Amino acid sequence: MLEFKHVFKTFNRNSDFELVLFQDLNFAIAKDEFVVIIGSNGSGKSTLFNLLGGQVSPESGKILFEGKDLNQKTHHSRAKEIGRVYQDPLMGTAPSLSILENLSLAKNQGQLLNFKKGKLNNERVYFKNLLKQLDMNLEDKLDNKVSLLSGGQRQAISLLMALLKSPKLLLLDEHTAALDPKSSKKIIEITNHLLAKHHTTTIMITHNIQEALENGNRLLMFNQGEIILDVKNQAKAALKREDIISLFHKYNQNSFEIIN
Amino acid sequence: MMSFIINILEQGSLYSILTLGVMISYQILGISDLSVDGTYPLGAVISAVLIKNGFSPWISLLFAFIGGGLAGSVTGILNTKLKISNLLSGILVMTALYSINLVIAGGRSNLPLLQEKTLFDNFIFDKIGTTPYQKVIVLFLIIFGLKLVIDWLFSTRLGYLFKLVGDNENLISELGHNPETIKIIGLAVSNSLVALSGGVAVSLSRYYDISIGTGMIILGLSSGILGVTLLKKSKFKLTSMVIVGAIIYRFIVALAIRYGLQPQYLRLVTVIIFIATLLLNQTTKLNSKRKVEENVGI
Repeated sequence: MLEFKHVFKTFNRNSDFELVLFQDLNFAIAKDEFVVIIGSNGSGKSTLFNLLGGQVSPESGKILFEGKDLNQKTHHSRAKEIGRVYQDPLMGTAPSLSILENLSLAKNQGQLLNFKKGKLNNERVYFKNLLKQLDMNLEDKLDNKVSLLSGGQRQAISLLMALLKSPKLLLLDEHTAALDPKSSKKIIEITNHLLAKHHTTTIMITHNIQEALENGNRLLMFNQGEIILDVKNQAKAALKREDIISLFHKYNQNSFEIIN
Repeated sequence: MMSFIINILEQGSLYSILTLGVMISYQILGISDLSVDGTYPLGAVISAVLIKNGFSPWISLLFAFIGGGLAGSVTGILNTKLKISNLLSGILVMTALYSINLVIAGGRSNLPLLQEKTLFDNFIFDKIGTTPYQKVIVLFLIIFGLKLVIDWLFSTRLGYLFKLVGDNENLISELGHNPETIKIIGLAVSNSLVALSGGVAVSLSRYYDISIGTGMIILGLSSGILGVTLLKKSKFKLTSMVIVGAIIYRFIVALAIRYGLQPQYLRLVTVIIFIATLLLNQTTKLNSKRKVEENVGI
């Protein structure tokens, strides 16, 4: 469903800070895959998502989404089919609106003037049940402003909102990285629970090796814009923490960077 | 005494329309839009010229509304498409409108209305007899109508997206809408209300002068923020807070003048009230922030 074909991307071209990131990047993702992407800083993970989201465009090459070239489309027109949860919990929700209003905005993607406030109350029960499955005590706080919630709670709402618009592809951009260990574990649990229900094709970026091993059915490891590991299903399940660390060291012999 | 109160209600109602417009850009979109100082006289001059040419004053208001909307969209387009800061976009439009207002008035900087019928010379009053309250009654009806329309607008998806402009612009894109378009529409709505208020002002004072726009942004902001600060704890909608704020603000100014304030100090007093309200707002904001921090747990 998603295909990168000969994608090139260089930053600060023709300056002293020129950085060639992707040189002929090629890979494809099939429908219903849950791909985990791991890599150190500067390996191209975030640029990959920004290419998909439309915040950054490639110099050459094609990004095909269900056979159509994404390059022609702006951020907001892609967003109808591609949902994204950001690392920063503040990015995915509107702080001054209530939980109910946030969820309802995500669900009702119709005409601008058709959506009325009165509709909110009809959906109250539906959203209450939706929030109950998060198990975060949010079901009784439907009318609370999102600005009053913790980072973990906001991230859970962001995740729900991204899925409520029934995207064909979901991008999880280190969505647990800004949370404390307890909340981030909870968010991963919720992610798996929701994905099992929705069967949305998903790409998740993570810094955390444990998270990468435990989730998804395919793993891609990036290093300086190149894919250095691509394993699926059983091969991925057999993968161990040490394998990833030794692969990382093989490519970064002079680096002092530590990944956890 | 009665005429003192009637005067406050008239002026307060007039400026509450302006304040509704200003607060849409300031409070909802989170933009300080200076084009207001140009769109207020724009609405006034459109209305004055049309009334002088025999149009119904109500039709003249409609055109004032449309004119303000066009000017507001220009501010929005400069800001979003040409990436000029919103402060500068507003100043540019305000400055350009000075010439445009002169052109519309045929090169004159003021126009008096003499025998022409205004919004307040209504056939209904001809039948039931004129009262000293008739201007207030007409103004209240206009405000009530506008309030209903604005409240409706803010209950639609578009209204929610307006709030997101100030809140989280990225989310507008994620929800599948172009944030630039939403911003342009918001500024158009805001300025059409401001121009409408200018049009009403001409009927009220029977006089247009090109300088009536000066300081309107501050007047609108102080009235609006005053209302929101005073009524924050109430269950009132933003529109009601803003309308009450504009009338209270007018009351303060009228009192100050009655008790000896020289009119030449008026703008200075406006700025002082504005700063005082902002400070008041900041201290209450800090307090409520502290409260929130105490209440938040995981």
